[in-house]
Amino acid sequence: MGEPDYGALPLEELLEIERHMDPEAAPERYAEVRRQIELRHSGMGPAGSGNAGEADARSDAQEPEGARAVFTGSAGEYFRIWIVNLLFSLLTLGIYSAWATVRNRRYLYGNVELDGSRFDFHGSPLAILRGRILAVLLFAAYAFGGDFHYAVPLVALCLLIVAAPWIMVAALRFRLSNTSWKSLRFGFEATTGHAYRTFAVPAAITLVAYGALLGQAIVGQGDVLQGNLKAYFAWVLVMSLLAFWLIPTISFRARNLAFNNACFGQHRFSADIDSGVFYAAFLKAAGLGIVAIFAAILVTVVLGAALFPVIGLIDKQVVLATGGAVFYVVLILVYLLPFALWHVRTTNHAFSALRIEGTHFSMSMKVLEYWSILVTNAIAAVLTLGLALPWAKVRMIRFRLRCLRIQGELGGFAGDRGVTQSATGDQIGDAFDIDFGF
Amino acid sequence: MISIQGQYYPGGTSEGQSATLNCAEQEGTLEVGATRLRLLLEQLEVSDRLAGLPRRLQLPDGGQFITLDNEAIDRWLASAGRRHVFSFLSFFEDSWHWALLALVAVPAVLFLLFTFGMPLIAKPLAAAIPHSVKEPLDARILGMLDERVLAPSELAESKRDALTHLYGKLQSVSGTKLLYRKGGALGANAFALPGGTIVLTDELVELIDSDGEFIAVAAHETGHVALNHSMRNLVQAAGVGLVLGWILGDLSAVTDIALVGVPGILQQLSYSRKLEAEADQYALGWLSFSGYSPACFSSLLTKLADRHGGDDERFPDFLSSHPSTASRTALGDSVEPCRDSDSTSPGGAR
Repeated sequence: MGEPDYGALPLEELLEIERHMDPEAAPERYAEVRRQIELRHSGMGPAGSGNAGEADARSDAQEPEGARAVFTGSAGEYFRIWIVNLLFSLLTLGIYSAWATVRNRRYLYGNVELDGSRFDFHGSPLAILRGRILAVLLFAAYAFGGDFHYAVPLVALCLLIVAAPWIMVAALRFRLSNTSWKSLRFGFEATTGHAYRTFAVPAAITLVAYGALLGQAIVGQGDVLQGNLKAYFAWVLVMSLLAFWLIPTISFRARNLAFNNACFGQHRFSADIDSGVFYAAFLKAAGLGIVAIFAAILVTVVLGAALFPVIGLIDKQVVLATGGAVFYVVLILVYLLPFALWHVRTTNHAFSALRIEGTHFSMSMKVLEYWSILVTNAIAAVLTLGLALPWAKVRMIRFRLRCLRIQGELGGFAGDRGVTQSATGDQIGDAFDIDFGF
Repeated sequence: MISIQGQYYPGGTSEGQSATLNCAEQEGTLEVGATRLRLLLEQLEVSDRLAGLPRRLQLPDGGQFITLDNEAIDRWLASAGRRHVFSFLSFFEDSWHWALLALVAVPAVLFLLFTFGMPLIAKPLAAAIPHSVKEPLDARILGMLDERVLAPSELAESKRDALTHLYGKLQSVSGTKLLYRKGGALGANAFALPGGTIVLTDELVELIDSDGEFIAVAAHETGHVALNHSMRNLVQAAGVGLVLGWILGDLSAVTDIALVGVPGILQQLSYSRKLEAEADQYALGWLSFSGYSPACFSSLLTKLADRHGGDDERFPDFLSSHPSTASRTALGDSVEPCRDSDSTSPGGAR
């Protein structure tokens, strides 16, 4: 067996080989692999990731051509960083958590390598701390204010809707301007006014819908929906129908705003995104969702019928509780499928439309593969009470990067950018689990 | 002399060149091709070490030197006497031993924080909530319950008046109010609302055979009001969610259930058991103060447990909202049986 040509292999494969190699058994080959990895890392390799495209094209003609970004870190390493920083966060009553966030992000960004150079995150922990305090207060009003007065969460929600365009711009500015690659910073150039104009109509409609509830709550005796089933169903029906227009419209406009105003150095990204893809994906996902509900009911009934003779003897309440739990779990698992369809279709499309100067991108995630990762990640996180989260995150990043190709020149960018210091939008986005698309 | 290989990026461009940094004590020379740049260590901004990530040296002119040789950078910084505040972090993060220790310590610290810290903070916070906020809650909650579960009481008016009268003679907490309802699905039950409304169900009243038993349950609920339990409960419930969100920072919807949902509910049940135990103590204190046997407390509890079909035993303690019936009835162990008070002046001190 001849010596493999390590010099021609892409970095990701080298790292994979290194992980499985026994340094004692084959010291020379191990040294050669290490040397090649070091060369790539220092950006002086004979085959930087720019050449990885060639290697791929040779090995599989079906694969789309182009450079790939690779994740050079490992789940174990990230776990150690995560858990140690989590402990420090606890010991400092959460104050350190902002520093922990920065370290976690730096690890994840810093291990993404494209064309021999790593990404980096430069966010200031103090900015994140300030943003987090505000986000937690807003979230508290939303989640627990209802215990004291029915209107409190609605006021918080309306505030959130009114502030959403500002939050989005602020979050993207902070994230992007604190991210660098090849020593150049990314950036976001849309103004807050631009975002408000973009979302004026959908935001106004959402605001009217929730504002009506809020008005009722203040004027009336309290919760109008609790007393009035008819009004409740009418409201739910109208909101569901509106969702078919609102959700794809808002997502499309958000992606469009993000992808056409992001910058790298002095260069601006652009993307010719087709809104039709968003409406079609939403329709399909909604249809799949309805099928999913019936599937969940069917599975629960079949399982129940099969298991009833066993547990039915124990207790009626146990049967009901188990049935409810099974239905809930099945529903969550099946429900991730329409979400996966929606996410994969729209993200693939948007990224494949993205370009900057002579460089363009293509994203080719598969719905079922993405769904299976979501499901297994969720199961692992639940079974380990969250300890598998770092592993899950690294796995998802690897998957995404594997599906992303970058074609064209990866050099010749220039220009310095200003840096945004406020992390308030970023943290509110985190607290409410909003994904701004980048 | 330390010599470090890396990449040099002049400010404002993505074009890197390989470079060598030769380090002397407080300064270094950066060799980029034929060019030499003199760098003063004190003017450099050196990024913190994190795992094996490349180190970034920010030059004052906007240029950057990036290297993977973390060891050499650390040696240079150490020899120049420059210590990083966060350098100790890397030491902990790089070791599986410390990570495993953190793995044990994180749940332990969370447990201590929630078991001892949270009630400590919740008490003064809950006490700070003014009565004007609590009072309207009663009407809202009761209205909801009346609409869905409860029905007007079917007890004889005279019976209700007698009990209310007995309660009035003992009442030591101002602002509580006794109400009677038919329990429906709730069965034999009693509960206290934040603003001081105490509701007894007909089914419960029918189980009561003596004044002492009535005092036991009324005092238990009065205890919930007097000790501000509903507000402490709310503050603690919100606290658990907020603390976890605050410390963990970025959570996603699915992990919310695993990390906040399940432990949150378990924690909530543990708080609830603690509050119930406090109310039990309050009731026992009231019983003995007004001359009734603590056995009245146990006898009513036993009847309640029988009525509810001994639900209690099916769930382990940590899944229950109340302490186990066995441990609660043991509180009222007394040689003196529960019978109608022979004390002529119940609540005699007043």
